[in-house]
Amino acid sequence: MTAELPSAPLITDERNGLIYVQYSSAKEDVYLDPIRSLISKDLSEPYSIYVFRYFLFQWGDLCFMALDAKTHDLRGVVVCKLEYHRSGTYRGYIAMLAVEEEFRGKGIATSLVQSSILSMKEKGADEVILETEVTNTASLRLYQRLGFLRTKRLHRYYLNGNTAFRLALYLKEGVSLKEPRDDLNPHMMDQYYDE
Amino acid sequence: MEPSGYASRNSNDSDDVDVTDAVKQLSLLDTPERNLSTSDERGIPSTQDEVTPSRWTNIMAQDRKRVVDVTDIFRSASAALPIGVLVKDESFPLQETVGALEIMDTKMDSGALAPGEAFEDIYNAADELRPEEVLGVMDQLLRVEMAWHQGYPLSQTILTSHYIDKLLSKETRQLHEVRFSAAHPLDLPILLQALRAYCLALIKSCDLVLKAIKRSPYYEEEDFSTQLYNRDLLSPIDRHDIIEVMDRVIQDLGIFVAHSSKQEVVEAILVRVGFRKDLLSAMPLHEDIDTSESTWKCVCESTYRHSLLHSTSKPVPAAFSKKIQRKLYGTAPPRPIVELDFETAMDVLVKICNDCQESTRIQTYSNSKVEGLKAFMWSFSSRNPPPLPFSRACLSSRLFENGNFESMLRQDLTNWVFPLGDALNPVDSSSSSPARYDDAPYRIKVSQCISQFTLAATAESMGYLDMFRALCQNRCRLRRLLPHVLRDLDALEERSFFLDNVLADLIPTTLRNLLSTWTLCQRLQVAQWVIQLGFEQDVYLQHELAGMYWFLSRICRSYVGFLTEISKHTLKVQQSSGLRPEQREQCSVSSKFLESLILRTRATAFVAEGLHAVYTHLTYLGLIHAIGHPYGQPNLLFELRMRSILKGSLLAPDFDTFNKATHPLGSFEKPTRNPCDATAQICQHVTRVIMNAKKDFQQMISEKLGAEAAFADEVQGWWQEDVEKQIAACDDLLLSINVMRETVDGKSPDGLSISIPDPGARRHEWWVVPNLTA
Repeated sequence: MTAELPSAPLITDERNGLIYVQYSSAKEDVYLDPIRSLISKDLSEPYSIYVFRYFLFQWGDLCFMALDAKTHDLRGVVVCKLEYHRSGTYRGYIAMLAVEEEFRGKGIATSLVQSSILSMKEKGADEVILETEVTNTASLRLYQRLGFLRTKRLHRYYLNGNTAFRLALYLKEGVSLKEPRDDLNPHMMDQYYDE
Repeated sequence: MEPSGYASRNSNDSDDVDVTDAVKQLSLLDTPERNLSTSDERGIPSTQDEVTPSRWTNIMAQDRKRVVDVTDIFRSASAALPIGVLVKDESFPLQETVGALEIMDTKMDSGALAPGEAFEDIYNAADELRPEEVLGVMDQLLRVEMAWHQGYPLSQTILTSHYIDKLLSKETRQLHEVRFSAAHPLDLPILLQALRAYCLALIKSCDLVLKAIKRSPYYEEEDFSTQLYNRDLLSPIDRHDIIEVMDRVIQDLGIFVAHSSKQEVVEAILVRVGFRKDLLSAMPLHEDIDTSESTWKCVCESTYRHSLLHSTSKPVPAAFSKKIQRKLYGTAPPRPIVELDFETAMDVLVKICNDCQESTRIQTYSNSKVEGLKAFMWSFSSRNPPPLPFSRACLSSRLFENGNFESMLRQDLTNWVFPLGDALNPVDSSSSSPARYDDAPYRIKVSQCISQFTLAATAESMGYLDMFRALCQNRCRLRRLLPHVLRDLDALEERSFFLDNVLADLIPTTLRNLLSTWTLCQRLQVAQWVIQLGFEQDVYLQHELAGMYWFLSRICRSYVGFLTEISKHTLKVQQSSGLRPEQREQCSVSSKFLESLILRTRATAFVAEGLHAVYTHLTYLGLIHAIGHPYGQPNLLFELRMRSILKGSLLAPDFDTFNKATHPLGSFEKPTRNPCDATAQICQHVTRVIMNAKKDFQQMISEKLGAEAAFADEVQGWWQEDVEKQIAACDDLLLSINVMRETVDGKSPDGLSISIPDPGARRHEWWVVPNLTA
């Protein structure tokens, strides 16, 4: 049976038989499990359901899914957040991105990331950041083609001992002039690697 | 996404006590009849003990606390929530979220057991082992210990050993109570006594490593896991007590060896125990940080014997178990044991010992040669493979616990801008001032002025101290910390203008803006490093190389300008009459230092200029793809890049200047002239600047100047090699230029192909020289 969509399709990709839709917590019972299992495939240690809800409950509108146009099976997903950062910027963060292995190379990840960037831009985001392993050339190429730059190299960032690049994209002029904010609870923001 | 960090769950060691105490209360109060098989040896119940709400109430009531059973309230409240709704505090951060777990998921819940799986593996550490097995266990311990040094947590390395686990399972302040079993250690067979001594020394040295790293001025969270999982690594026990145990074991083994049928193997055990003793003796302690170079030299020599007879050792796989992690504080399920292969572990061990030995050389620098100290710290940081956190901690402890930065800064200022010694000793009658300035009020005023500056500069958050701190970090972190140093030095420069005006009134003949010029020079130097480390760490994309080399060359040209001004002044002072011999000598030292620095900086500017021209031209020729992505507007990319390397320091150029410099022929799509036609001219220009750079580099390493002029005589080998590698990079660039000239000149670039070497495949990491082939 075809699952009900959480929202009207934003894009229809006829060539690949896909539709792109925005997530909604109202449809968590349908989509959370597929999202978890797709993202967990590439992880040695899974995130708990709490991590997914942390993002999807608060920023479900920044989560986009690529679904099979007919069956509505999940083919790819991007999960993000957007909040004020200590540096004073309104910072978007791409937390997770995954595409089913046999559907890779069709530009699905790029479309998903673009959807989330556009959505962040509409909400007034100053910048978008993310981390990726220095050896993940596919991921680096994807983001760099969209205009991301490498801003930091993070030694042994991942638990497996691998090193990451921090990538960033400014969406507005004057972001670098924003002043650090002291009024934010420090726990609300990334504490690490903020040098 | 952040690391999927079970690690973050256990980050606060100080919380350990409360949790464990609560669990202990549970076991003491409520389960006196409990069968030992359902608990570990500390009396902590396994998850199979069901704790019902009513039992909790009972327990807490006995503790005389008021308890409210919220089960029903909780159940009805949660039933009212729709699926997917999150209940969380406003300030609940992502890191905490990542630490959440799902009960009974075997990948998250440490208590979840597969059907039929035992909670822990049983191993009797008091069982006798054959000599090859003792050797095997010792070598296995080394393999996990070195993995810990590389950054893996104790829980997956050293604490997976049953032997270590047994020794640490009881909190004790008495060494004889630290045992493998109930039996007194002296009643163990001699080989197990040797293994115990080996383990004790290993644990104590881990304790000292952790203390050294925790003392260092920056927390090493990136490179090193400082979590203890509520284990105490024999912290209260004096290392000399352990050394005594080792001495006794060494003595007994010496007698035993003669009677053993496996003499060679026992000798190898003896060597390992001896090595452990040497290593433990060399470990720095807070009170005697000055472990000398010779102590470490001795350890380094004994590392080579450590691998003796490894091939005859017999590992005992059952002596290690990942399930021991279930007994450690934390909720993470057992993760795989991390162990290096023996050869790699030996390499890491030798590396650590060599680096620790090298770190002791920092004592050579006392307070007299700051530029030499910087050269030494760069050479240390550049060691390959990179120094691990412990040896870097040894370096930083020596520097920060012994260094008098204010005095160092005075010497630094003397070498840079006060060759007559005005900056040296505040208001000291023996201070060397020229005769004509020899009246006391004048000297007092000058001294006061300089003191104000040196005190301000060496205060926290003024950048100068942080520059040295940053140099004790790993290279990635060094690159990320230096922009902060830069911004702090901006503030110092602001403050120095006022003092410069005072000094100008006091010494009218001196160079104008002495202190602010010195500060600016430091800023330009730091900015140069930040840009260069970006090349080394592969931070810049191909289309950024032209712009970044342009920026580097601009920074260096500006730097050369200020250095030349200072140098001219120093020469003038040197030629003035009435100088005392020591002043004349200081002038000569300063002049040579400045000359060497000017040559280096000018050469850097030349090479950067050449590479800027080459990469710009290659972009016009279509061999480097210009940016044209949906969101990467050039002005935004520029702003982001400058922010990431300068953190808002005042040195950034404006976008128009940058844009013009990187687009000399207008847009890449529609250049104002055919770029192929410009090839000959570009090649000629690049050849000229690169030849100039080579000349400067060669003059730097010439006999007249050399490492001594640059204060790098203590690290002469590294220094010389570094310059030679830069010269080799110049030669590579000249070869590529020739290929470009011959292939493209006036024709199409079709025949030309390019490859850009990754880090590790370059002559010098700071020079990304394109390899052009026809």
